[in-house]
Amino acid sequence: MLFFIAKRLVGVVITLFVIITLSFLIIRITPGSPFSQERDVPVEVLEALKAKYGFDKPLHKQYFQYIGNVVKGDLGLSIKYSNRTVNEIIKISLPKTMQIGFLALIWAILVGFVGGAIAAVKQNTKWDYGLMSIAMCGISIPPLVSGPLLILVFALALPWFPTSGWGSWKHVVLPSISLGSVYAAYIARLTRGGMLEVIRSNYIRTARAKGLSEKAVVVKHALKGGILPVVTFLGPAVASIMVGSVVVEKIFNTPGMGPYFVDAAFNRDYFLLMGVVIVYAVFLLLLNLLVDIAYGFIDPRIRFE
Amino acid sequence: MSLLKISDLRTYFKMEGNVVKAVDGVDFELEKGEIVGIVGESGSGKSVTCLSIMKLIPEPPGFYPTGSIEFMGKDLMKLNTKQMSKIRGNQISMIFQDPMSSLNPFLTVETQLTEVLEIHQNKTRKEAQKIAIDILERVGIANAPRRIKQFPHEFSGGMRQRVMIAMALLCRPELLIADEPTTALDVTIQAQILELMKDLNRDFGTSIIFITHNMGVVAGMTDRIVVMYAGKMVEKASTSDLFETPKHPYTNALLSSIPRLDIDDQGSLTPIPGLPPDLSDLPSGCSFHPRCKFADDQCKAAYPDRIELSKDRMAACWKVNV
Repeated sequence: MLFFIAKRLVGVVITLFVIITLSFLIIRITPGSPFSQERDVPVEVLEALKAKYGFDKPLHKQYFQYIGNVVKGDLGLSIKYSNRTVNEIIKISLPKTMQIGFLALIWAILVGFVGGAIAAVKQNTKWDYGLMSIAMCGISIPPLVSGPLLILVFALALPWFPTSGWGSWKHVVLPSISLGSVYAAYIARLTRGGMLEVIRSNYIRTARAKGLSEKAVVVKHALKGGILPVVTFLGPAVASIMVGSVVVEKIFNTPGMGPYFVDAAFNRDYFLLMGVVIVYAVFLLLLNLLVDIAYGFIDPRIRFE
Repeated sequence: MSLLKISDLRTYFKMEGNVVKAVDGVDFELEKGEIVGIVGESGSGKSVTCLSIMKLIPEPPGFYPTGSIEFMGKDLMKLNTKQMSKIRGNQISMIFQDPMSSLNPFLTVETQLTEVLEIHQNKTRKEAQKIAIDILERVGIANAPRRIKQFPHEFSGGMRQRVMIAMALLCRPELLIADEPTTALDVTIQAQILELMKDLNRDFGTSIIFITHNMGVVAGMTDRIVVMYAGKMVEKASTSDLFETPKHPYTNALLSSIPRLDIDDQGSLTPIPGLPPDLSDLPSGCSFHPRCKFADDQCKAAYPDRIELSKDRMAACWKVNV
């Protein structure tokens, strides 16, 4: 088990290295520069700026210097937000994004899981059809629509929550629901599918033949196998929930990390963009590792080798 | 009074507007300590009969238009789900065809065994564990205290079927229903499992309903046999009568398709021509007539009456006296 984790961590580092290298190259090859503006900047100023960020050196030297800095944990300076380091920006914005993400995740798992399980147990009844229709709506309605709708209802019509901004726990609720609903819908559908497959299996018939109550059959015998597809989905889902949604954070005007993804790309803010990519990649890789470990705990047939 | 008395059991399924008559009139009795075999090809209604006794047919699409299942004086057809759960696994147990998929891969053998005792006999986990280990040893699992902590995938096919049998016997049921318990196992393991079931029948006095399509297996196991074809009971007899003087052409055909070691020049085996009929589109008259070499116009026109040949001996065929 420990050996398995160690081996996978080495893999994570290698993958991360490849991701950093490719992103670095792609970002630099893309036309445009952080200093291109509508009005031309004097040549001397431009040279000075380039020197400040080390862009005057050949690309391979910049690359090795960047890798060296990343290993030391230094993600460089932001170009757009001058005099702020990328580390600082991420340190301030990521926790806010993660707060929203965490609540969204709890909401998504709770609603998706219970909804999906009920739909599976009551397959082809009005419960099933109702819940799956709601799930279908959940998948089809993106935060771009659900966000303003939630504000309209729960901030303006019923003044329970603030429309936007940051400060109290109340600011987190609406963005979390908006962000989590799509995931809740996916989880509900996956749970239903997984549970249905298990409920039809022979060992569930055995459990019924033993005289277990329907509740015990579902909770004790069907749930573990039924959630496996959900666990697989959760790895990448948690990663993208945790680094935030551009749309949700723009709509609710949350000072999170999501908008930096897009802004940094538009502004050619090389180091900030790289920093955001690295954070996302680390989340994704570690959570996938976590999913594989979780699999081993849920399904005893899986061995860590 | 017999332990189990099934009268006019019918189990139908509603499928896309069609009614599929999976079991269409089955009657038999089972005395305490007796072993009754149900034989027939795939799709003849053997398994559905047994799942109906346990009331394990999903409703809908399944339903029971007629029939009563009297077990120890109670009609199981009249019990609700909760009352039925008290009987399942406690007084009537069932073992299934495929031991590979019939045990829960996510739970240890211990959990799967002890929960039966916990629900039916209010045993604590510790008491249940002791009983479970004893019974695992009884069914021939060596090193039971260690093995019980393992998961099903750590057992071989034959060992898993032993675990299934142990699970079924935990509460010392009056009746054990075995649905093709040896079909998925290889021949040497088959013999061991059959031997084990015979021992348990003798030692505990457990009555057994034994479902199989293997005539060789029923010959050595059972006291009486029910032959089913296309959901209907076509012949019922004591095992010796059935093998010596089969009355129904279908029984006869089943018997001639068994390979035999005691006849030197047997030539080729005689298979039954054709396939079992589609239950949603049965042939007119006797369902067996398209495959029967004695069939004539009468067979095509009407389903034959059951002819009581003697006590406990019945055949449903127009040609029974031929």
